[in-house]
Amino acid sequence: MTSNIQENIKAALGQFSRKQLMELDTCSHCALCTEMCPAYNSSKDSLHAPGVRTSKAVKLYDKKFSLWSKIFGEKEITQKEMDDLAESAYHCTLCGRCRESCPFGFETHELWIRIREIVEAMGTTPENVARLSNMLDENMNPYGQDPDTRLDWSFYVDIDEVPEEDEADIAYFIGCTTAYKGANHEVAFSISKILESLDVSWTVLGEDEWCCGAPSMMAGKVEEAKKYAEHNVKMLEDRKVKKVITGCAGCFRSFKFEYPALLGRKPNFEIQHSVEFLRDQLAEGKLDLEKGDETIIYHDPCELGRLSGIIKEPREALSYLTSNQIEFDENGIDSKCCGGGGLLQGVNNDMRLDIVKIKLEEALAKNADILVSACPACKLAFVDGAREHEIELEIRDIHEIVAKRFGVLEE
Amino acid sequence: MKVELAYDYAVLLKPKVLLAMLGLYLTTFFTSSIVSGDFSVDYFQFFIGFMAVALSVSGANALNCVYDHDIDTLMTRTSGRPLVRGTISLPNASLFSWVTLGLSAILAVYLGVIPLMLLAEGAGSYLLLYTVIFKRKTSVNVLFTAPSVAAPAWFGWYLGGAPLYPVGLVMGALVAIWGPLHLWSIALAFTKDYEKVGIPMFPSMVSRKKAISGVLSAQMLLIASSYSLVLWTDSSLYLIGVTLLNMLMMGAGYKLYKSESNRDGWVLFKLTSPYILLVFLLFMFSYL
Repeated sequence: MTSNIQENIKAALGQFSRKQLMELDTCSHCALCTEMCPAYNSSKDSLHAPGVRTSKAVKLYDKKFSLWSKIFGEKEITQKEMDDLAESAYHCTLCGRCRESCPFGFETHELWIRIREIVEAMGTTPENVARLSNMLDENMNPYGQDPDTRLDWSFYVDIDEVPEEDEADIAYFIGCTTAYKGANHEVAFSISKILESLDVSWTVLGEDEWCCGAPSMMAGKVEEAKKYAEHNVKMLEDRKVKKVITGCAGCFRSFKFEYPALLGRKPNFEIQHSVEFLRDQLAEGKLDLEKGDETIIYHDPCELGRLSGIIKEPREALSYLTSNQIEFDENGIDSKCCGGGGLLQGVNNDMRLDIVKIKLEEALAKNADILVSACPACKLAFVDGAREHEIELEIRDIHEIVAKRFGVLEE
Repeated sequence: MKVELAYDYAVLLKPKVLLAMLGLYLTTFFTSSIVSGDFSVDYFQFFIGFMAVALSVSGANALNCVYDHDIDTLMTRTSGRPLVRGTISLPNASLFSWVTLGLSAILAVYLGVIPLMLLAEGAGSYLLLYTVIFKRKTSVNVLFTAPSVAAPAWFGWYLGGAPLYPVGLVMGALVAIWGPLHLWSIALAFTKDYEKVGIPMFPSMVSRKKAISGVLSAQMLLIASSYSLVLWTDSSLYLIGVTLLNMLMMGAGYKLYKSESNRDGWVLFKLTSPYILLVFLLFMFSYL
């Protein structure tokens, strides 16, 4: 192995802050979160347990920076060690359950991203994730789709025109997984219909909308994520929007929590997840909808609930839409992951489909008519999982329930 | 395979505890050498003492793992230990522990009756008083680790050459006070794990507010006690240094009191880890 790679790895390992090193060390001696980890529970492979991941990272760090290495010389990091760390790092949905169950309250999410940065420096990022990064570079979306087809979803649904204004009060940031994945076109349609029904000036960015940068962050390319943050914020500020709403939990978290850190400032607009916006409109009586009686079970997307704190809003919105709302046994901040996050799909889709099966089966066991979420990645996981495991269950985004009440979406 | 087995045996010794106890031996040994006058160190005796402490602590820790393997299996935090994973068998671990303890006794005999008694007190109180008798019976179980954690400090002091000075006893007593604070601050985070196996660790037996009050009381006792060493040094280095350390500790304690969070409990735990060694180092340097 070239000394150049070893130097790159050393530089990446050297990026751990003192606080993170102490956290890694403590984490590697504990295992209390293991039973909560969806990836570990699916595979039962110790390499996928959070504490083993940190112990692998500590071992690599010690090879380059420990007192022993300073006295007797650094040790070379082997290919197997690099491959193990990469496998461990990417067999994680970044769901944050380990953070919630951490007895020390560590920000494990930040640790996992930092470990993925190290994996990137090692050049052992999984092939599909590396490919995704290339597609992002070329097309500004992780699906390799032409940027000028970003609004093509509107051709497949019953909507006349999606406004692309130079200025507006509200911007709807659609997000790549909603714009480019067929299973989510009706989500974009539903949110547009909600906005259309209100007396507000709104716009989408069209081709000017780039990926929010979350996939770059998750692939350990934090600097690249900054490029997307800068572009999107500039496009939105140029249009003088006061509020940005998005139906994607990942985009929302990026805008709300990652962008201020990446840009070193808060954008000049408010960011809301569309479910918060929807709850406000329903509560203020601006959307007069008939309440249904379907049994609806709500799945908290990890990035929206546990990682962003939006837990009561979707439930309040649903209370206007159905008189029969039920819950998963573990919900809210303790919600089980659907398997749809962390780029797991590109690394081990079988594991993703295995993880989602648990939630689908629980929804069925509770006799839910509709499984509702508020994140296109979750919806995609549920749709793929239901198809794979031949589970008959209606799967919807919460905004689609509104569109159904409008009578513009098929039952 | 051999490397992995050696690693598992190293884990069986509880290496962090071992390092802490050796640190106590080193600081008290050299402080005693300095206090006794000419700082003339018998390095052979120092080495034999070092090995005796290392073997004694290792043997006691390994035997503790053997005795507690039933609860280690059930506790998530300890479920990765070699006896639980089956990479070392119970008979092998027992044999290893007794051989290690036996070797430490032989070395201690070479050093004299008092070193032998001190090591026997350390390992014996840890295994009998704490592990066998009180750990599973009372919520103040960690108080019974006090004689064992004080032993390496007393042992180091004795071998350093100043056996009859009360300051040596006080240093050991400080370690005994430090032990419960250190253990309770980490136990704050693992209450559920202890509850699962019915170990009545103080923080898991009372409300969180009471647990934190207990930790902070132990902290205040330690802070107050740390000033007792001022009586044996004229240098202001110790007074200033220990005051700065204590301010840091009190800041962390105040944060824990306000937030009651596990994270602040962890910060306090991390601060208490090097605290006693730093106090002893300050005391040692105040003589130079």
